[in-house]
Amino acid sequence: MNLEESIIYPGLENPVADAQTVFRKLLSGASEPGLIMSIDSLDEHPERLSLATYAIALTLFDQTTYVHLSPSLYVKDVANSLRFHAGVKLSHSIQQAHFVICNEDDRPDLHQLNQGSETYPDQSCTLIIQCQSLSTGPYYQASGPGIEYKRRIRCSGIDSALMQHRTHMQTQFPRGIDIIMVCEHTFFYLPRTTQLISEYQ
Amino acid sequence: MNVEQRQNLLSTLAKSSLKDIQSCWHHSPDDYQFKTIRPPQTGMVMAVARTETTGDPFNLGEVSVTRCALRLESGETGFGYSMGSDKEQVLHIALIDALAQVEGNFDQLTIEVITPLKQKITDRQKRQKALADTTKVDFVTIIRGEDA
Repeated sequence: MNLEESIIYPGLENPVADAQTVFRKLLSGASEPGLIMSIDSLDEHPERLSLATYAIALTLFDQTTYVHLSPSLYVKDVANSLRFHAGVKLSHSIQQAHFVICNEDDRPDLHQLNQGSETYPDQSCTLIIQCQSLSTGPYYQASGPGIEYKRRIRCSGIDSALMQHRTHMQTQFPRGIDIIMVCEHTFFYLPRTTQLISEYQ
Repeated sequence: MNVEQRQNLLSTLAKSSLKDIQSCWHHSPDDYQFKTIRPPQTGMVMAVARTETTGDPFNLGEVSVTRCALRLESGETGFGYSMGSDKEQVLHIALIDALAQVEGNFDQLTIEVITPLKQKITDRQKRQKALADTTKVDFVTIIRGEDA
């Protein structure tokens, strides 16, 4: 925990209207995996959280949400801002978390996350990965529900461990995790149903 | 300003109307540079009471409460909570709370704002009590018989 004086950052200016706008974007993003959406409802955000991560957090989190922050994000101003505005419970345990927020370079082992159960696959974890860029790195072809033919995506946060986990997840369906890739004010959704194939195999 | 002093300040301000606050504090929020962390918003809170102040707690009913949080340019964070739905009032409370945390401001605010407001609250309570006392009925039991 960072010991320096912490400040609470402002939340959404119009909590109801702004949260509805962000929620609509998330819904659209989840229905069209890989499509980059952008958020403009906030002007200030904690240094270590990107604008889109903060907006998504303020929209989706409430008093009943367990959130796990990766070590590099677990600093006072992030923790205090989320506690103040959303009333979240910050959880040390990764298994119990409904949401995990991390950077691409300190992503937890994906197999540790709650994958939901056969009867309640909706209770699985949603992983928010803050990436350097959503427009660099090798291309992947995404297909599955919400994508008519194929969609080309690239993102610095996709690596071999993530690809391996997605292959493993296909055998576990409907259990699995949904991922939101975030960079600054933009994000795209990678639900468990989306299949990724590397273009350079 | 220690915790007790701050509690006293916030409690006094919460019990004072906007008009009373403005009559003691001759500034406008526009005079200061601050950012609202949580813009003034009104919600409902369950008020809990005890019969005769010592009995079991029970839910008296919901009351509307307005709250606000802001941060001065210099970094002090102020909070304002008050019963009712006066958004201007809680903005003033939060701002005064933040200003009182600025080095050297507290004593002046106490003299100019808090003490006069406290006096007003005491006066108001006295007036209300006097008014209520006029309707007070003293029951006298007349004792009769041989037990007396």
